[in-house]
Amino acid sequence: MRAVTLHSLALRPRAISVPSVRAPPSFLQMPPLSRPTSLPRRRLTRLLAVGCACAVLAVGQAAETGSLEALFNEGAAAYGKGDYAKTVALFSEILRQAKPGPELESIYFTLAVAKLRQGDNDGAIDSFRLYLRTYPTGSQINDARAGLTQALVNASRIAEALASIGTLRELGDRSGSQGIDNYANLLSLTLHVADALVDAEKPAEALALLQSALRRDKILHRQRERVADLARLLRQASVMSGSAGLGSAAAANREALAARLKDASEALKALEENPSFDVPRLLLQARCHLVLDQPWEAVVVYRHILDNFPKSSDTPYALQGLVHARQASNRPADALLLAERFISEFPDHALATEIAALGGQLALEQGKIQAATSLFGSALEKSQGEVRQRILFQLGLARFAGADWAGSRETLDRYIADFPAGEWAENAAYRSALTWFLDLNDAKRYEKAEKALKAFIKTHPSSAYLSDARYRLAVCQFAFQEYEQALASCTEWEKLHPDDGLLPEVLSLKGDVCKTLGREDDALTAYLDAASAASTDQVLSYALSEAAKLLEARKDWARLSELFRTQVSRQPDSPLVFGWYYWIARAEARAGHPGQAWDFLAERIASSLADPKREDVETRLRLMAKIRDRQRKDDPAPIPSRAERLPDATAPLARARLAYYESFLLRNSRKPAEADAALLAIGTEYDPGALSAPLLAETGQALLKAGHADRASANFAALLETFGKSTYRDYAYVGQGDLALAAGQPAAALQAYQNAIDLAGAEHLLREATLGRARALYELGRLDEAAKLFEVIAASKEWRGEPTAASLHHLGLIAAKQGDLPKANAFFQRVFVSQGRYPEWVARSYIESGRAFEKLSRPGEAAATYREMLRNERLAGRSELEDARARLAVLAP
Amino acid sequence: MIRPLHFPLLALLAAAASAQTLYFSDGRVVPMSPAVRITKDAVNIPLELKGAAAGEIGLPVSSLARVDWPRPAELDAADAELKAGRPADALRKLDPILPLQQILAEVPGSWWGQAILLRVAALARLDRELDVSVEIERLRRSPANAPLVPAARIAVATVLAETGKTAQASALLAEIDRSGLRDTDLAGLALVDARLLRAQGRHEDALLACLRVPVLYPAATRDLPAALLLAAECYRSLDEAARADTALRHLVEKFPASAEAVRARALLPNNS
Repeated sequence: MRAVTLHSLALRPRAISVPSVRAPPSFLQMPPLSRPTSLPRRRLTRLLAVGCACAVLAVGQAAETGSLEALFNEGAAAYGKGDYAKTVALFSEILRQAKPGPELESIYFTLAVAKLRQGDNDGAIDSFRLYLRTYPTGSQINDARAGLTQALVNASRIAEALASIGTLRELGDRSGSQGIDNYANLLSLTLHVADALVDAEKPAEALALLQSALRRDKILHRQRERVADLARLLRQASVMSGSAGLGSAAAANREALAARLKDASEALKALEENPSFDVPRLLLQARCHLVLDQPWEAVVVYRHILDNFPKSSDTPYALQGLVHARQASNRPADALLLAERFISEFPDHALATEIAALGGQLALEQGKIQAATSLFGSALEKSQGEVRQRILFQLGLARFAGADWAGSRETLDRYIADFPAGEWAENAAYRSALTWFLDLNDAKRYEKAEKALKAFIKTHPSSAYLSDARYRLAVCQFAFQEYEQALASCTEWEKLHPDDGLLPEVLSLKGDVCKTLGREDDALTAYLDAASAASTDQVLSYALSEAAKLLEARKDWARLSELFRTQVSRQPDSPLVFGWYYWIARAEARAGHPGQAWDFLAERIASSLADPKREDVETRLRLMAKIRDRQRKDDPAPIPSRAERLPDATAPLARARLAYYESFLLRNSRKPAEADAALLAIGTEYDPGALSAPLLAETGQALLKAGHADRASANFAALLETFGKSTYRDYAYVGQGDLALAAGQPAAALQAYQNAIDLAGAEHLLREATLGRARALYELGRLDEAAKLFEVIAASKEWRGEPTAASLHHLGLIAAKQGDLPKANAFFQRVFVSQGRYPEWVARSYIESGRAFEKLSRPGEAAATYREMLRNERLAGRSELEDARARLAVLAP
Repeated sequence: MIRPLHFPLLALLAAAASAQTLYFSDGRVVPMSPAVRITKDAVNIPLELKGAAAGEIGLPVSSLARVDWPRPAELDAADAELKAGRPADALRKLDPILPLQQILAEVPGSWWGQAILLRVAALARLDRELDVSVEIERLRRSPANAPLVPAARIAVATVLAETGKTAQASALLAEIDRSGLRDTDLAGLALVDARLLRAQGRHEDALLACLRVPVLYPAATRDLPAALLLAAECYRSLDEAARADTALRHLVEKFPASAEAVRARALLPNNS
């Protein structure tokens, strides 16, 4: 099976549009907060009891006294039981029958409260206003104002409620019987009005109201003053009532004041015992700031709550709000940390699921896949319904992003099973199918992908992902070497999806297929069309590179030069432009103008010689060295190695690069030992901080090969730290993997090799990274996984070379460990028969083969193997020869 | 005979007499007039007697329950001089009112404490550390004005922060007990914290500190313009240009006559 390049390895899954999955706006809804309570029922009941006698006195008509009293008693009893409708009916009848007077004050008031409790807000508003008009200096004026405000809020008459709150606040300045008895209640009403304003989309007004509301310390002060005031009034009333009978107005007044003092004192006590009293107001204020797009202000409030009220039962809401505020102020890393803190501190809170889901989303956006998976997993535990659907899908996405193909598939399939008609069912189904395609570790991935993709297309005939699916199926056919079918699929794709964004990729694939079929003209046309249509640098680079190779093979230098000159003129600012210069120079050199080619490159290299960000400089220097070498062959007259046309280099990097150029001159002159020494010298003489990414990569390898492990390690570390986005990072990871493997740390090695693929894309050293992974897995005893990778490497024609020898050897070792010695021997023999260029593996395979024969009790074949080994001249000097001699001495003394 | 010592006091009193009222603990209310003399220990009130005779009664200053005294213009003038960077002139502006206000220092309604706060700020600007300490000690020893000591320290810390003496400012702030402070003091502290953080390049922390003023202490109007201007500068440092402009516009709209508004107008795009 052909290992394809761009389409299976380098190409990442095309961006599938995922609907934005945002957390539900529950944070905008106020939590069930502990707010100060409103008018206490007990006080009303007591007032009613007192008022009863007054009402009776007000009647004055002997004939009606009994009926009115009965009405009153019945009404009061109904009120006590919560039968407000009855209270309203009975008290309304009293007012109809009785003459107006001060004694009816409590009846008017209680009627209004009953309507409020009944939910008749309009009726309550009218009744409270009637009370206020009838008794403008009444003893319950503050409670009436409070009740009126509450009714106005309930009826969504916010402007009037605001005015009413303002009047209540003015009352706060009054002392005497008309003052406010419960300042906490005033704040409660303020919060209700503010809530209503926010709901009415008037957050600015709500904010102004909240910021002018009294704080706990001020309320405490006023409440204490009020209690003292009421106590004074009660003393005066007690003196004035003297020995007056229970039914007297003086006594009634005294009782009423006593009731008010008790309620005010209880309100004060509740306030004193609640140090977190300000928290509901602050939470609502923070909410206003968020709605007003003032996230920084919201952060101030939430932090104030968390710092000053750490033990408040509303702390989780403050922390939740802070998560959202940090997200809104564009600090996703902070928001994630806060979300994790929430889950840690309040794992069982009702908001934990929402916060975990939000945290997972933040982690996913920041590329922290492990954190995302953990958070989504946590959120999934207690989620239900629509929330669960979203979290399950996001967990699948997180695993997909983390290249956990099996895990992603399992989660996405679970989503499809649980929510077959779910919002993202089609997306999940396609991604699940795609996971087979993307799993590089699975030797049978194309077969499985083909099956899954075909099933997807069948079940989703109108899917938005059809173009992507059909493209991948064509790639599978190419991988199966079904070239004509692949070509037909590409042509069919172009007809079905002429305007689709994947066209450049499909054309590139078509080019690959045509090239494989030997139809070079068609391949060239396809590649050039792909380059024209390309919307990404990756495809553009690939298509142009393939077209260039074809033209180069044809030696069509003029066209090759023209191709890239045209491209340069089209996109002079492209980050790929220096690569195009390379091709132009190469074409000129091959066309017999090496001097022009060299000059062309030298002119363009001057400005970037000391620029570490230019990673293409080394590539051009290698070409220049090659051109110079060719010039030397054509013209044997000696040419100075440091050509005068290269700029004077003073910066360390520039000098290092010129030294690199000279090392390649040596290499091209067939002086590999001197070339290696020159490259090694760059690694030892220059500080890692002075070098570019390619130099760090290559000198790091040279240092590693020469045994300078520490220095090599420093180079790799500098490469990762300084060039965080370089394509050469895979050198560093592979190098770190090699170091770890040599140090007997296979687990660390495995992670490093995996990082080369996952984090650095393995653009240069995919083969080495894959081999490293396989060897690390072998050392960890994970033989089946290791075997799969070794098989992939051994079967890959593109990767032919020493890795093939190493892979075959290890497959033999694995078979031997698994007890299949004949199979093991077959692999060892393949190595020393077909991989003669790699003496290390040949020698080791000979020894292992001999041992296998010995274990199989076939000493004659073992001895023959050892003898053959000793005759192999290429193995001269190897230490394994001593092992062979020792075994021969035992087997055939 | 009017003693020379009292002449300047009387002259000042004459100018402001129409708005000043003295309230005594026995319930007596005396509007200020040129005939009312305040000496070091007593308030001498004229008495109307029968016939052509005139007299006066001297009541101890300690019998004053409170005074209704409009804010002396000299305080605003001194404040303006301070903001304009002329601390010596600020001191000169305060000198005329200090003697009388000192007599009334312990009486609710006196402006002595406020005058001393301005004096402390001016002395701090002039690097007169010893004098600063003396004034703060005077505040501390005054039962009615001891609560102003934190404000005085904050004023000194503000000057230190603005003149780059961040270590000294931080040390002074660390000595202040923040519990139980008034909103105006907390606002002042927030502003100094913000300046110090900004000097350290911690723009985000500085922003959150100065935003405490408009968010948590909106009644501290004295510090609001400076807080809004500093917030705008912090927003710009954090590449939040739109939010910076919003803060500047808010400053210009709410405090158009402030010195900070002048700067804000210059910073707004198109000087809008």
